[in-house]
Amino acid sequence: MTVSRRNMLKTTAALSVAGAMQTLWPRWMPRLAFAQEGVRGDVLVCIFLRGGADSLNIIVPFGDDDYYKARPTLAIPRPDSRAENRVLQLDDFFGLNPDMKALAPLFTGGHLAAIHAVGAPNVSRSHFEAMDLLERGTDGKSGASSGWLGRHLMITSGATDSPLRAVGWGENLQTSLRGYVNATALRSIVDFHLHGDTSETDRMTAALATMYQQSDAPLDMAANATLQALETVRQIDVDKYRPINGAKYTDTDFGRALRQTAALIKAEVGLEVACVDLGNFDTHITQGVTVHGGVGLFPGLVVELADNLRAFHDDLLDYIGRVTVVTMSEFGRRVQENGAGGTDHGHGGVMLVMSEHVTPAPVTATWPGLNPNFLADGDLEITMDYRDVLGEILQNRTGNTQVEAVFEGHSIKPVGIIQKNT
Amino acid sequence: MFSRRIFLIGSLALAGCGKVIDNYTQPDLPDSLSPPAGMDRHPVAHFLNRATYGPRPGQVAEVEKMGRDVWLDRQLQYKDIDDDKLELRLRRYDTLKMPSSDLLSFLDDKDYVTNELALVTLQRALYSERQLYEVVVGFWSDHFSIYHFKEEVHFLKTVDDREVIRKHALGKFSDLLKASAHSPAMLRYLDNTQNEKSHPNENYAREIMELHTLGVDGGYTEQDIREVARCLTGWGMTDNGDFEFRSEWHDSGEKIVLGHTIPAGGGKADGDRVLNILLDHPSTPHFVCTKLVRRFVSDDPPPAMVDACVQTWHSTGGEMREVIRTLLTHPDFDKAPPKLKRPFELVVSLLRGVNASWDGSKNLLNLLQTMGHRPFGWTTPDGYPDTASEWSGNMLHRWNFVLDGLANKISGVSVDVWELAERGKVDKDAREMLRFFGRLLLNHDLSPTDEQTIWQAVGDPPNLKKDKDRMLVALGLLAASPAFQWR
Repeated sequence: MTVSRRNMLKTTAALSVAGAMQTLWPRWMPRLAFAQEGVRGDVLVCIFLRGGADSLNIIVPFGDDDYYKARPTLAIPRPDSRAENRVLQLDDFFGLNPDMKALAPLFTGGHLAAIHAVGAPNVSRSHFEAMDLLERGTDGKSGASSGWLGRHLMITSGATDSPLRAVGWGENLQTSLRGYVNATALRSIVDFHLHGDTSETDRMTAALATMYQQSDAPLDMAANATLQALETVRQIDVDKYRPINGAKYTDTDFGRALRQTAALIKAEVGLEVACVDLGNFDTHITQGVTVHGGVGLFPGLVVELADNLRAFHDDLLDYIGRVTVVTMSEFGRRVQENGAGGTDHGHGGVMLVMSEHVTPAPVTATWPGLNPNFLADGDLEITMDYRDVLGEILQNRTGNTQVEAVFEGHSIKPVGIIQKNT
Repeated sequence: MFSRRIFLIGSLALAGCGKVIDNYTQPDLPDSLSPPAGMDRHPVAHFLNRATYGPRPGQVAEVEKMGRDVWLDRQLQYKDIDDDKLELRLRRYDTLKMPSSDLLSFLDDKDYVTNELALVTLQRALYSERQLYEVVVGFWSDHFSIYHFKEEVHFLKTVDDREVIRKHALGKFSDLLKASAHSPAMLRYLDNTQNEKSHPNENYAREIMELHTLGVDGGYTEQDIREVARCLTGWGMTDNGDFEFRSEWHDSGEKIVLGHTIPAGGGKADGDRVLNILLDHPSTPHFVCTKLVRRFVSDDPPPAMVDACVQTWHSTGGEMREVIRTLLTHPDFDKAPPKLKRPFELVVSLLRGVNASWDGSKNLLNLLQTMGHRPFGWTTPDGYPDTASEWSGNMLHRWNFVLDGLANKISGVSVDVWELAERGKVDKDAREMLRFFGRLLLNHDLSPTDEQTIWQAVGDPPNLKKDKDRMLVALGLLAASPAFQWR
């Protein structure tokens, strides 16, 4: 133990030298070797749409007449309509919200797939409880307090884990990452630095490294991991990072998070999991139909989602075979629109999976129907457990061979949404 | 009750003159300071590191002179300790004493209520003279953990804190458990407000056994959970946030809980009976005492200390005051290994250790949130973890907090290290000043290697007349060192 710890410190020292040389390098950042033994698997980017995203207006079931009956003002017109904001057809039943047109080529090209009528079967209609349940990935409210990604990271943890193995973008660490101590909450790459006069931080860092070298586990391990992460991040110049292939991220928290995730992936700092949030999808009033359909909160959010996902895809074209993106939300929304031009908390939702290895079918669903007789208390029924989707991703794309330990009490059923590396 | 001077200051508080109050209530510093020296852990400092949120300058000497037992006696009779200055500081928080019906009227301003309670918790930890009581309150807030940000809990936790946790913290465990079981905040948080005979909700029934009394291996079955849930059907709250038993929701059939038959038709008394069964069960004292010993002594609770506490529990009928006394006066107490400071403890121990003054601004709460340890911010009912391995993740926020704190760069907090140095008669010499702060914060000498490392990083000890900034960096590194992370 002691020996490997010393080695880690030597690495830190060596990295400092590399840092000093950095100014000589023309590249916007050096590639740091967090060499991994063997292939680890994809970088998993998990996007949580906070507030309960209206799945029916993201992937629109235009083939279900009851959708149009339930949504006299909020429905998005059929693909065969002449309306400017008509649905972009994906198959003979589902279509894409036209504000998300940036994603249309990814659907048709087989780089993106949707799963509909998906969610947590016993989920509550309270935001807190539902988000908590989905992020912990457990069956009920008791059980593990750790998150599903936290457990995944613990299970697949190895001796050469990067200190930037798991990043949660935002003020606080997402619940799904809880349970893995080295997950780091980052508001921005540039915020991850030791406070104080920049001319002194090198020497301060060296002092901390020396002092913690003599300290006891587990604190020394944590300190060394933090120091390495500081060193790595210091060498990434976010301002000079230039997305390629014409990728344009929005200048929003969500856009910046994906942009910086792309930077970390390209820097090969050993990132394996990133959590990004987008919200607020809690559209009880004046939800809005599409950008062309007047006011409302929803159109702006789905544009932000789609444009940035597309930018992320294009920016990472050279890496995209090793990146999987999944989106989820705590629940969908009520089928029937309410009297305030909005929708209330619902049940079944939609997940998007972006990868070079997704099934060719743009939408996978066992559609329960929106006829009031088929609804779950007025909501879209859930015909697929979200853990089956996440489990299949972990199993087929991240090299986790103990997925049953991530989703305890749930046996993963194959969804067929994503293929294994061959 | 209040002296005339305090009364006048109190009027100023009502007029919103927080600054005057803050200055007036700031604890006095002794004229001269000579904190413990030597390389060994000072036993009184160790004692205060566990029984308080961290000693204030001069407090180790004060308690040593008074005698630990005398101090402990006073702390256990906490109501007799004058805490008027703290009360003055708390006058600015108007929701603190409100009944639930008034609190619920803050529907459009939930943050106001939750922030006030969290800020008050910090004020008390920092400034209360009843330190042991506050530490015990903190323990129970974790044991009966309630997440602040769920639905009506936003408002009801204020009442739970006041009428359940603080009211019974050093009283009988049976009173505490019963109060908690009647607390609308708890019943709402753990969904017992939805526990109805036709749709039983087992959430609270499970947690009251797993987390509040017996412990997960305490000897109950899934069937017991279902039966306890049946007994608790109808225990809920009114729209005003008061406890209410809804007899029409109650399952009036016969139940069998942990082998005890509860006859049909008991009504609300079924739940009361369950509480007594849990209180009489041998797993309960053992489980709770193990957690107390973990909190006050060691991540791995020594069985002998747990047994001693359980014995006191039995001989006093579960008087927490006496259980805590047994724990803190146990012959093995001084052998306790170090406990990692959780972020809240790191923040408060630094601010107390340097007699920082805080204006009550929210910035400090945000920092705690970033460090993952805002009061009542743990989502699940198991409460914030209490072992080092669960808190030894990212160190950056800890380091930045102490570096900023000692450099006086945290808004709303002011730290005057120069005044402390003057009282320690070390304000002329940088080397002496660093050593003094080592003793002040660590209660023993800074190790020569750490001292050397710090000066290597900062450069030669600066001339304190000309170069104050580098001294602050040296002090920051001292507080960022491993030694200050443990208590």
